[in-house]
Amino acid sequence: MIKEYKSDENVKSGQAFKAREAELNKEKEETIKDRINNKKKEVILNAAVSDDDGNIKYSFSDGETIKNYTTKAYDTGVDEDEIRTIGEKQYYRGFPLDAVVVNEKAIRTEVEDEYRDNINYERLEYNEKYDKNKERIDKLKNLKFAVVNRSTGEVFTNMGDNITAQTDLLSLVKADGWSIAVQNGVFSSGKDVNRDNYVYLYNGEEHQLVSFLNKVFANDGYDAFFELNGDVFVTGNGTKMLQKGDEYHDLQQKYLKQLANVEKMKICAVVSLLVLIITVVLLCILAGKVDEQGNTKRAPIDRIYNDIHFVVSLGLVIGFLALTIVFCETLLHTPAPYSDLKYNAMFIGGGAMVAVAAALFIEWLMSVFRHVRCKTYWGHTLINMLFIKSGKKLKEICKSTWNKLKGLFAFQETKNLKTKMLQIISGYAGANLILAIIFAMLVKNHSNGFAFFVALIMIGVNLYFVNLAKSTIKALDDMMEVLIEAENGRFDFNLDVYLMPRYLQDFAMHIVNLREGIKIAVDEAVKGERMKTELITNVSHDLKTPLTSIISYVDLLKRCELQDEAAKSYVEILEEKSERLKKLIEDLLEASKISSGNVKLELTKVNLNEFTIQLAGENEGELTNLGIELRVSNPKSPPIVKADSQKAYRAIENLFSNVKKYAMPGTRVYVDVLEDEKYGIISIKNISKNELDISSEQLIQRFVRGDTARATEGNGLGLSIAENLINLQNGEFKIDIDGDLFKVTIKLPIDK
Amino acid sequence: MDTKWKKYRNNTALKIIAFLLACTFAFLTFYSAFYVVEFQYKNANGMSDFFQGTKMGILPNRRILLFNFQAMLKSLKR
Repeated sequence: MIKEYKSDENVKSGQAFKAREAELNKEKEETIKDRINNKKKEVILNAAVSDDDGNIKYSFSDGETIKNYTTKAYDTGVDEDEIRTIGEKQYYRGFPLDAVVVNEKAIRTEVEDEYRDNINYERLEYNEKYDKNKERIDKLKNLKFAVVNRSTGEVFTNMGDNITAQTDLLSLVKADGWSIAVQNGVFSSGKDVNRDNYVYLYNGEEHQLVSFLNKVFANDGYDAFFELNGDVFVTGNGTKMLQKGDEYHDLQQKYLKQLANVEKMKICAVVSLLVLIITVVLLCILAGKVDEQGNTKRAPIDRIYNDIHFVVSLGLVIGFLALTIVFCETLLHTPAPYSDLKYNAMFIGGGAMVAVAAALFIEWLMSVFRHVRCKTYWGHTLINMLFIKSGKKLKEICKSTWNKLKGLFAFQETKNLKTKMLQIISGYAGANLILAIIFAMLVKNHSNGFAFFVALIMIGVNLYFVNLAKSTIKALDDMMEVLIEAENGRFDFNLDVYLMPRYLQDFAMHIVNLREGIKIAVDEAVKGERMKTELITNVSHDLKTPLTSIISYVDLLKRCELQDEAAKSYVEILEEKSERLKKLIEDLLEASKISSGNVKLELTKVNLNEFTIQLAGENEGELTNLGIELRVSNPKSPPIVKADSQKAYRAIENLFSNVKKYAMPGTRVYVDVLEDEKYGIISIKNISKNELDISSEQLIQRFVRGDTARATEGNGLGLSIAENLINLQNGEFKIDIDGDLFKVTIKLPIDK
Repeated sequence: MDTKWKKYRNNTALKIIAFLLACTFAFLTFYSAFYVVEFQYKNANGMSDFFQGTKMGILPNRRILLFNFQAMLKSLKR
């Protein structure tokens, strides 16, 4: 090969092609021989005829039967379709080939014509390929090489004219970490390179580079040296650019372009996946049309039972995904592996199948969402239709039959839980004991089949009792929980009595009945209270109208000139009592309103200092007249509270009214204004003129008075109204009694 | 929620567009992911266009030895 490359004129003159020409000529002779033999075989086949006895004779076109040639009987018969050589002669079907004459000259001429064309075509192709490869090799910039013919010393190289057979190429190779050589059939490499690491890859298959070099060079008598451009690498962490100008550089550019595309495709994959997820979520939200009443409408496809739909969709989705894998795998392993058409088919075809799988999945998911919105998912399954509904009916039939049987035998169940539990535990232990004995006996008698059956029954019995224990514990737990709730005043609990074991159902039913009883009692109490309030309101209203008339007429009577002093005093008494009655009715109405919650609050900022000063000012005169001294103490920084000033005024006014009625003359009343973190505080302290043998709780009740002799005016509603009004404003109201010391503390929330 | 989304849920055209969009993006997800995986697989196994085009050798430390040269020599040898 070196010689040929080094002599362009040899190529041009055809000398370089001589060897191939000789090969082709030899092939031509073989072809001529084959064609002649084939023609002879054809003649023999056409001449063969069978006589009446089934014997084969050979008759040529003139009708003469060949007798002069004796057919050769093979050991294996005469019908074989191949030419046999026996001795120096060739036979076909036992007939000697030399007995057949064909036009050999015509055959030779035909084959020679064919081969002449072939040889000319190959010569042309050889020359073209030679020129092309020579051009490629001349262009090489990233690979230097030298190939030496060991017998002639000729050197084929692109490293310059100074490289000769005498150059120490091996030293050059070893000096460079990335050079390799095969000299006298021995492989060498540069430093740091293990020869086993040189792997030649072709179509994804590995070949040892050593064996390749031996095959191409060493076995033909050549030494080969390669010095590779230090930059001819693509590294893991980056790419070193090759020198421009040769095909390695072009390929590297193409590769780098693909590498850049991969980065874009990674981003595209993530973005596409995100959009896909968002779209699927959106479709789930949009699943199912809504009618006028706001109910979700189902689609025609939703008539398919949900479990069938699930299985079919799952099958189709898996099927399409599997088809995608098979399709891509098949294309990957088909010949012509790197055509663009194949990859386009793989990407687009596979993508289309994945899209179909996605469409099927989304369709199923939307159907699920429609059913879930209609609350028909579980109900619209074949399993539910076939087993659960039918099962429920069967259960109902069994239950009614059992009840009838129970009625027949008048079986009286014991209501004692202890007895029932003992019965269950004994039943459990007894059943296991009996089954264990049977099992042991069967195993001893080697009746393993029956033993297995009994073991299954044992497992079933134990599972039944485990389930019973589980449901018992759950039922007891539920009942305890419910009782704790009832203790805290919550009676709206639910107890699934019919899901409990039968022997606990009676107890659970008692709890449910207890709940019902308490609920009825509470409802009735509330109802009674409401009626009482309504009665007070109505009666007060009815009393108020004639009372107003009485007060008016008393006023008119007072203006008349009454001569009789006794009459005057009667009118005064009438006026006083009617005013008291009016006050009582007004208090009753107020108390009724508060207890029915029919009070509107207008919460504003209230300065407690100013508030108490105003109240003290209004009451001080009256208190002084009664011989009671008023002492008010206010902090420097006034507490600002959030309160309804009118309601708060009414509450404290009630307290001052109490002081006037019940405080001992000659004592002091202390009104203190204080403040803590949460509340503004007003406390009023006075000494009672009557002995207070009543608790603070009792005092607050309606119509209860500290003056048990009822010698003073009052209706027993003042403190109750004051407490309710303060509580309504999120405040606190407290009464302390210490001997004759009577103290009321009012707390109103600080306005923050 | 039913009332809030009612007009969108009753819009068939919107749903068809969203459905087609989902299918398209499923296609794109596969296309781009497969492109990346396939390239990386081929690269790791010395089957990329670069490897095949150069008919190169590959070293375990990822340094690539270009060896297209053999194809040229082969044709000259004949």
